[in-house]
Amino acid sequence: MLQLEDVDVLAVPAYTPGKKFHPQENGWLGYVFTLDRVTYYHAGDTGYLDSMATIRCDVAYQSRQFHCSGEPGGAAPDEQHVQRHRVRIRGLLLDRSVDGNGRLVPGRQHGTADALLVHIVPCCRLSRADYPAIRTYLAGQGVR
Amino acid sequence: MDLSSGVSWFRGSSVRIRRGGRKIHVDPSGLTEEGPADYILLTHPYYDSFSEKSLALVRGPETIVIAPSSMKK
Repeated sequence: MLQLEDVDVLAVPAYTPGKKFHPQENGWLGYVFTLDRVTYYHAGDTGYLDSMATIRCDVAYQSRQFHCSGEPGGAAPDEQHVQRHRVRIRGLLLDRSVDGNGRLVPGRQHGTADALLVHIVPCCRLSRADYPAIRTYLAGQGVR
Repeated sequence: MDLSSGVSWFRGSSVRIRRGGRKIHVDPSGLTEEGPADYILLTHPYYDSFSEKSLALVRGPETIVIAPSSMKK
């Protein structure tokens, strides 16, 4: 957990199990971060992971790729798959959705918030590197 | 409390959150006009989520960038 000024940030894994694309070895990430008593979860580009069940947040954001994980090319999401996410991730779920005319609707809400429970299991090591003028934190597998 | 207030979506995984006087961008891309952020979180380097141009728009001298170590050049 990175505890920075006014925000706590936890990096969590983002990958697609069982597929050649988005392998875990890429070390890509999602983030759980708390700002002014609200905890957000940005899933990144990932398929469903069992570790997501440990995430407690107020607002979760998933990209369309998240819906379509396992179906590269933007095929129609598996509704059963999506529902599972909605149930397992406790929080207000925002995503990109398509309205009746096929237009994207940003920030549509799919659920209601659970109580504010921050019960996160740290999943990866975090490290920090300082650059002139700009501080950059590098997170994920392996420390640089 | 309106939990969705202050949350804006631009495209793909690009999201901006304004809250408590702070501004956080996740995967900034698709931006045309935006000032420096307090924090930038990068999830992965794919073309549809990573934009050097948008990153430059929101990366100021005091901005803290958090990224996967695998994205280090």
